[in-house]
Amino acid sequence: MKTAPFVTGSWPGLDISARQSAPPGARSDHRGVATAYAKCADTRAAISALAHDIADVAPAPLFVLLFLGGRHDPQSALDAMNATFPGIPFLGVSGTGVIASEGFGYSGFEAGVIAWAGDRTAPRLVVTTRLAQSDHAGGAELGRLAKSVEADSATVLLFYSSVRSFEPRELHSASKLIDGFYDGWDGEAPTLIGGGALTDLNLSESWLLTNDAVHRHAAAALVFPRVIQATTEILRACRPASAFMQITKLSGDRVLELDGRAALDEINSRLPAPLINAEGHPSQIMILGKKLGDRFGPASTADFVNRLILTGDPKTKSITLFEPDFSEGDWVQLMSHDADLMVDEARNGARACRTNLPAFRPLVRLYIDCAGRARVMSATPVEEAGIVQGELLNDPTPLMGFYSGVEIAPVDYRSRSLDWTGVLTTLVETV
Amino acid sequence: MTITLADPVPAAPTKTETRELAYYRNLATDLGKDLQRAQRSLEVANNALRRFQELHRLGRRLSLVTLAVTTTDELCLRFFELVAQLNICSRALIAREQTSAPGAFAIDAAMGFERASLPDHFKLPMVPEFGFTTAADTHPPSAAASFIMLQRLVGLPSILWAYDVETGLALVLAITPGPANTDFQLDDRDLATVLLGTLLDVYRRLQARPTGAANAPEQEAAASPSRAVEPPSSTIFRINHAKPFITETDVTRTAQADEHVQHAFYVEWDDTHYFLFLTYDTASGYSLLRKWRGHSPRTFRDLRSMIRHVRDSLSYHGELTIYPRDDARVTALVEHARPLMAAAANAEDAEAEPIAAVLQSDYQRNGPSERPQERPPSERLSSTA
Repeated sequence: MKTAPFVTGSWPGLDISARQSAPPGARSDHRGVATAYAKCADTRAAISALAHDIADVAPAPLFVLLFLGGRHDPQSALDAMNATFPGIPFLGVSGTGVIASEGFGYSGFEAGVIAWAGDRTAPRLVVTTRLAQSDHAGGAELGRLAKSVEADSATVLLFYSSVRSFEPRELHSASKLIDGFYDGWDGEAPTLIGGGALTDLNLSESWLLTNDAVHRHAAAALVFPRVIQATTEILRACRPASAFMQITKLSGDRVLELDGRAALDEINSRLPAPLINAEGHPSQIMILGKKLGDRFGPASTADFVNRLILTGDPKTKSITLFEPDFSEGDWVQLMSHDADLMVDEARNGARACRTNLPAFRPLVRLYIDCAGRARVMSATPVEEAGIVQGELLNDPTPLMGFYSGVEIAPVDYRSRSLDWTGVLTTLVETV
Repeated sequence: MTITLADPVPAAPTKTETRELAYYRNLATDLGKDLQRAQRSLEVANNALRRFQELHRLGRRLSLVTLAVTTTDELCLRFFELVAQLNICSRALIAREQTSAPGAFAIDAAMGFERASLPDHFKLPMVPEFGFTTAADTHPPSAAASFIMLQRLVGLPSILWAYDVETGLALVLAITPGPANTDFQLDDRDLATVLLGTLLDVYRRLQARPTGAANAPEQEAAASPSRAVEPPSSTIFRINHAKPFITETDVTRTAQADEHVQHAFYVEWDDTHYFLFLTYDTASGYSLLRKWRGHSPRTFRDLRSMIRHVRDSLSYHGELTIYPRDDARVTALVEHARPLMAAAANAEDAEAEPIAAVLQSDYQRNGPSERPQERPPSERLSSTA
């Protein structure tokens, strides 16, 4: 008997492939930022291919950010990174998949890298491993550490491991992490952009890699020098599908009552079929949205903070949200994810990010894309990541990103955790 | 003197305004439901489209990646690599039924396992041609015990099984279902057919290579399905000694109990007589199909009626093969059923209209330019099936 050396995982059937291959390192240029993409079941070979492709521009990078598909074994990846980039600080982030100029996919075997070769633009890395105790405390520690290395930073990339436990399903809270970060920074805080690591669409696991270890309850911040700033387009996919409901009873991420009724009953009364099926799983993707600003004023998709309904409990008639940042008294609406809207926003957002860069020198584009927006989850006619990639294919600024859990981006004057969005950020060097 | 005006106190809504608000809230709820329904329909359509596109792409890519393989080791590696990259499953086995032990399989190759965690062999109490098990469903239900065994073997709850009766080659795919997973379903028969068919094609191509050809090591023959190399033995199609004959009434009753024919094929007795053998469990053997009542086997005289009967009456939608009665693979069946088959063929010939037989034979000899006169459908049916 022969055995193939693949790690186990759990995925639905799907197929994404690279649209177009760019020459190795072609996306990297004199800006001192190099990117590369690979797709390979052999972790060591994948990382070796990435190193090879960035070697022209960044033969001795100062910092490496690795996005790695969740079917790669993290310990093998850690060993391979240390062997391939000896002595070079790096951060590895697990993703359901990776999105790059050269290709994208969520098979879990993708790998992508951004390497900074110039001291003027390279970030500093700080890490906290305290999320197991408290997301807020971990965020506060991270904020303090970040400020200590670059007190006047304007831009911080924030990544964290999303999964607290698989059974029972519990997630680390990005909103508490962000609140903690701002508390720990204590002052004029930088813009936070980032996302939650995942290994697959089932929210089974998540990890971060640093030079010394694989971390499963950790958060990391890439703190950029002041000259680096970010312009961000948030691509959305949801539109209101109900009248307003008021949250009248809530406990953390569990909404117990809406309009004074059991939350699940109230939700079901507004759906054509019950939210929770016989197996206890959500029968459809459903989201609660909180409108920012004037409740009855004109609104666009950007005016909503959306929270995916993770599950519902038929016994307690409660629903559980992806994040615990709604409050009693908040007015919310059911939001329906709209495939056409998602595709339109992907196209328009990608076009906008190419034009909204006056007087800046773009270095690299990050696309942090909610894994739920993948075609296999959202049932879109095409992959929206493919639209973003296609729109930016001829742009000289390289694109790199990953399929995430929660996204983090600035909304309404501060960074927030977002659901079901694509965060398309261009890191620019001010001139 | 400055006069400050107090903010106007908002008037309480009138009864009409309250009713209007309730009306619009209800309208919003109804429109929201309609939007959900429309979105759901769109999702179903898009998922069906995606599934079709993926299957098409899978077939094409499988053909490409297996085109250049020269050994079965390489075939398994490339095959598993693609299957894993396309997220079709997280664990997989390629196994081969042992000729001497029906239902006993040797594991040729595996993906996603620790080498030590798998035995070299496993045995199934029932061997369907196609099947799957999930938390909600097992198909065919009669193979439940086999799927429990496979679940223990691979350690994952959802299993897809594909088996080629002729060569004994079997493919096992396994996943862990979750909120994002599309669990295995009946429609996955197409997927199983594409995957197993590709494996079989390449196995056969490798078998066809002359001994000593480049990159074809001697041990290659040992690693490939033996039944694809050797002339198939008569044990491939065994008679079901417990039930050598099955009536159409039995078939209908069994179908009502959600049991379906797993495999069926025809045996060509002569130019104008075909008999159908079928099985619900290939490990138990095959039964000769008899008419609704009486003891005569069901005979068929033309391809169209054969296909119509097996598809519509037996609800069998798998592959259909016609074996000549002297084919080694069906020897055991023919020997067992010979008296009945011969008697049925003779009786049919005696009942048939002589002119029709002449015209039919002329047509076969001379081709379509001398097509015989068509008989009314009812008459044709009565004489053939």
